[in-house]
Amino acid sequence: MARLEYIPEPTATSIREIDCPDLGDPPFVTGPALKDRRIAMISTAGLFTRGDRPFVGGDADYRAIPADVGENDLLVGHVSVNFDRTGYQRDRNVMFPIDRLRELAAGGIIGSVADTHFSFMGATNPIEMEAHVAPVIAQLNADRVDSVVLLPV
Amino acid sequence: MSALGHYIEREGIATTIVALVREHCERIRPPRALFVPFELGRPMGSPNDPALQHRVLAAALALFDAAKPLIVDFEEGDPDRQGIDGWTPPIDLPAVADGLSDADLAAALRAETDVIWPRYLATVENQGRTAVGIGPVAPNEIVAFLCRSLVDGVPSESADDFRPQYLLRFACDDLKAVYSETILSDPPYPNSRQVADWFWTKTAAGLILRRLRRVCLDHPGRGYQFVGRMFIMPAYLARRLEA
Repeated sequence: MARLEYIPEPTATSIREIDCPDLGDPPFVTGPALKDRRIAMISTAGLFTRGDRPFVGGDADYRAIPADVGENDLLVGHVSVNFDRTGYQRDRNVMFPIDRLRELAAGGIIGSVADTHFSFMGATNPIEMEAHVAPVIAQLNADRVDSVVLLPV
Repeated sequence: MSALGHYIEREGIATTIVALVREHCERIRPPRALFVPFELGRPMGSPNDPALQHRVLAAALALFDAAKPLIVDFEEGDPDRQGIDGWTPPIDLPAVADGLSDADLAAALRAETDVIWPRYLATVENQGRTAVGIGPVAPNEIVAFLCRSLVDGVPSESADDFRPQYLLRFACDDLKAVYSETILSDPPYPNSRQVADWFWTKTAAGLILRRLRRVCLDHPGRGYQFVGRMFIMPAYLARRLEA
């Protein structure tokens, strides 16, 4: 449904007109074979763990999510009401596919799953987010992560 | 989100994105993107469909083998787009009359949640999880908080580390989640538009949030106005129901 023609107005126009920064040619790094990669997820659903500080409008920072976060302890804090939450309410893997990633690791398809994952809140100016990426990179490096799956909503 | 691909890959960590808006990807050009046709909020497709979720994840991870930046389309469609013909919610709620005063609408919400709340608690117990609880107002205080906000006025200050309009925003989100989790506890599962149509047009909860949205829009403070404009009701429904 996320083809723009299926998104109802006025949301479709708002999405179409979002200012996207010109970041130039994409950087591109190679890495090990998939079976040897250590993978983290970064969501922009404004996910946060129960008891952590929820996101409010304009927050460009992030929340860390331990890989073993309980099913009852991961919440959606994104300020936008223009995306579906009912799928997540039935199955968190719709936004945060931790169970699928674990299954791939158990099957030897990927090397391993990171100990910590992260969430920003979309609908935030990406230029403002950039200032908060450095500590995420430091934690990914400390966790020996070489690959990230980005999961917007 | 695509921008994060640039920022992270610049630091030597490979990225692949499961993208819901192809147009944004084409403008920002992340290193690797899988465009999926699912509804906003569901990058991995359908809930409780691990086979589909595996296919999406496998397709996104396969892009790590690419030799150069690329955007690829996921080849399947959205299985949840159609919804269920003739769906009705699996719960009988007291009818809500038109044109109620604020006090009577608050009473209607309390009567309605007398029915919803035990079903919600049973759902949480059965499933072992809930997405309710994003703000500092305790779940069992949400209804009283929202009724008070309508009848006595929205809060002008907050004892918590949030501006008062965010207490209202969090409570509105939580109330919506109580209702949707309750009616989605068992199959058949409607799609999100069917749930939203029911909530916003048939329940006292939806009507009270619509009225609180209007209170926010008419509030002298810009913070409340912004919350009313952006953070209570989906824009497509506000256009359809509140124009």
